[in-house]
Amino acid sequence: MKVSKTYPLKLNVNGEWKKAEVTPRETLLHVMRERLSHTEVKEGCGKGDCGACAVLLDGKPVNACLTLALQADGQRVVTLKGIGTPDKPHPLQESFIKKGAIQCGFCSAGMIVTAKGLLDKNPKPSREEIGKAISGNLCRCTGYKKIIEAIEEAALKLRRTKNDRR
Amino acid sequence: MINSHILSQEFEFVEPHTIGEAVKWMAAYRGNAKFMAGGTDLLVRMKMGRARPEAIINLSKIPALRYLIIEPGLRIGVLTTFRQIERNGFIQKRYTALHEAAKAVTSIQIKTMGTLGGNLCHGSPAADSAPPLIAFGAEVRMIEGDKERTIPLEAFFSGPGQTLLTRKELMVEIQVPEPKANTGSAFVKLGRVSADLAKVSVAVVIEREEDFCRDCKMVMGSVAEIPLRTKGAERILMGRKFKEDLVEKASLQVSEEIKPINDMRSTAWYRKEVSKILVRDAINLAWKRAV
Repeated sequence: MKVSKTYPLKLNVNGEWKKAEVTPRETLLHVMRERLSHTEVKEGCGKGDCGACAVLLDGKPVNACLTLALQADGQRVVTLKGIGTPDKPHPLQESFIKKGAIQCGFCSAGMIVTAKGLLDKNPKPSREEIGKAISGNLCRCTGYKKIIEAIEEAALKLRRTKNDRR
Repeated sequence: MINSHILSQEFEFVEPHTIGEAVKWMAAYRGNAKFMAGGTDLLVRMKMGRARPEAIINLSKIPALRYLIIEPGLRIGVLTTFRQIERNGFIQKRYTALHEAAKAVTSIQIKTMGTLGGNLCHGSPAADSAPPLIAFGAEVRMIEGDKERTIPLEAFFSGPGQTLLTRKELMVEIQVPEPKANTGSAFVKLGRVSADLAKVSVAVVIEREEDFCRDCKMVMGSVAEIPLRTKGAERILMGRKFKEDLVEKASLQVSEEIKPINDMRSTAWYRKEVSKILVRDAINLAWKRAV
């Protein structure tokens, strides 16, 4: 069997630089899950329809399944764990739990990552804008009402904390 | 097969930093490599075994392909993403149909990576960027070795998944002329859900002179083997006083002109029927905006 040539890869994952030797065939999704143990990046459809694998690449939401790891070389990747942890959850994560916007949880990682991408750019999105932003993230359990409400509530909370700090 | 973290095929990966290097690499691979812009189409095709390049030539490290210049026509580097087009206020105002097409492209995730160049070069009759760009009279500049040519986008598509690009040729720029004063445009698309490919799409560009339609361009997606200019319908409106019954006549003419197929997204019959409505809406929208 022909052995694939490997290439050096450098990624900043959730603020920490990581290195790996990868073949061109490996998607960002694969490297995140299998090489760097970031299993919070989920695989759903594998062809860019469902958004379960969404990560922020240099601050913008992309599908990790349709990105070669080498395409992301030298860039910043933020996953769900980079947004918040069980000890220190992000307001988005808190409101998803509080509003019951999670059932099986499979879409939640990509959903929250995409929502974070939205709120970073637009701290006060309308319902319509939220709906548009998550149109590439499929949920097959709850429907989208609770998810949209959770994002709205998190946006409100984030705006309040920001105002308090001033 | 599709749920692969790792693509099933072996290929090499090169990252040129200039256009010259990119076309040299392609020559070195004798045309058996693929240029990659955002990768959102190419990687799906590779996962499905529909594309088997010896190598991927990643274009994303070539700054000379990533620009959007307003001068006052548009010069668009092929790496310009749908998200950049969507968020550009000038394009929204002067090239409204192009803005609406960028907006209609699937999801934020795909729009962030997906480029105008990639969308055109795959040659899909459903490519959202094609109808508005053709309707605005866009031309595309392509390079192979030290040869260069610029052709009208209208002539670029030659069949489903086929274009005039040779295997070694690289599209580098999309040039869009400045619309005349009093021009309005619209892009209307019907998909099953908003993130889906088009069942039917239509772009209309109208130049208005008081109550008269001075010029009209109408281009449709997903209704023929290539993005199709419906010239018969254009002629019905051109040079005439704008009236409701003419719009009706043009929309009926469109359903005669198009040659849709049955596929998983729609039947040919449905496409013909619904085209009438989309065309009517697009004409009326473009007309209203032409002030």
